[in-house]
Amino acid sequence: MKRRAWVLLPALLVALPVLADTPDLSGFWNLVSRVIDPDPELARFVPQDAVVLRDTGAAEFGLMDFGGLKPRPAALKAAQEWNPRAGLTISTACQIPSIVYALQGPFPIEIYQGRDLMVMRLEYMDMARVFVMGDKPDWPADAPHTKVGYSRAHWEGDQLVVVTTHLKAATITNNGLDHSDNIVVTERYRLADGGKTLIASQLYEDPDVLENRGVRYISWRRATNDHVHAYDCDPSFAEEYAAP
Amino acid sequence: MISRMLNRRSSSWPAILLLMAAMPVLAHHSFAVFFDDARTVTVTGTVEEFQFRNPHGLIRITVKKADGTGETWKAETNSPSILERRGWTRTSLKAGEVITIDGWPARDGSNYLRMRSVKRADGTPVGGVAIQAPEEQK
Repeated sequence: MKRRAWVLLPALLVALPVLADTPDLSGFWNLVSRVIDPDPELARFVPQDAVVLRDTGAAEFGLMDFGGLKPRPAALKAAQEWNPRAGLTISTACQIPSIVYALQGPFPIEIYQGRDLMVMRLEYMDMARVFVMGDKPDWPADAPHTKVGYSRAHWEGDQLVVVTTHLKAATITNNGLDHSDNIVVTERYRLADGGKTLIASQLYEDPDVLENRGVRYISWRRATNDHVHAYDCDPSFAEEYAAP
Repeated sequence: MISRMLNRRSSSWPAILLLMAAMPVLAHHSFAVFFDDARTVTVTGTVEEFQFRNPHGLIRITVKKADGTGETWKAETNSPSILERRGWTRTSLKAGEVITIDGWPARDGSNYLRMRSVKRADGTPVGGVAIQAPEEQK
């Protein structure tokens, strides 16, 4: 038994510095509600042809404005025919968007960081994301698609890289443009400002719907003594938008 | 007495900065589609109802018109968790209380607005803070 422990010890010692060098993203983060400029450290890894969506935080695009994203004909037609009030019925008012729209606002997030798993809770709609760390296999293409999808993550230096697939179709810009089930979302997260700020890039690749790629830059400020609140969605809100 | 003002956004920088500081918090439905962020509206009236719910709360007030009759106005609020971080609770407003709401009007011209801030009759901001810095908005 003692001998076995001695065999394991060197492996542990090798692993410890790696863990110690990993930035700790754990904690509660308030969204910075203004549009931020691309972060140079993250932008280095974003394809140059990706259009930057400047609608993070409080900003929003109006009808038929997709911030530079180029919808394919079928997606464009769907956006043209989109009825804003269709999402404001008793059966639709509490439908959850995917992490494509939900991450950039308007609510805080909370991160729990482990070696093999990370959990990101979004206050908006009580969403929870799980990041599977390391070199894990892909899910089969026909595995269930959800609004949080399946996320694999790894560290590249001080940046956490998260690749998410298996997202269920949902809005991109909250104005009639939806992504498909086949979207691939690549995110990079890094700490800045001495750990007080968390910055992310969120890259969208969805050839079924878009002729080009898009990216959002999102930032949060660390806060203490706070946690994600409950979000009990009440569909009766839709009655305020019911036809008289 | 009732005051109702509908203002075009000022071109002066202080006004623009103030407006930016109080930008709406987008939510489930599109703010840009339903509300006009180029204008503001202020209404004073008596609270009839306050719903503290997701995705948006609602304040219903009766505004007294010049001819003595009343008309209903509704103000959509941010979600409860955001309001709580600004010092609100589900009992922040009571029926019968006179308040002044300012915010962004509905694009369809109805008596509906998106709340930016609320003041009590004595001028006290509900929640303690009328307008916060952008990064504290959410």
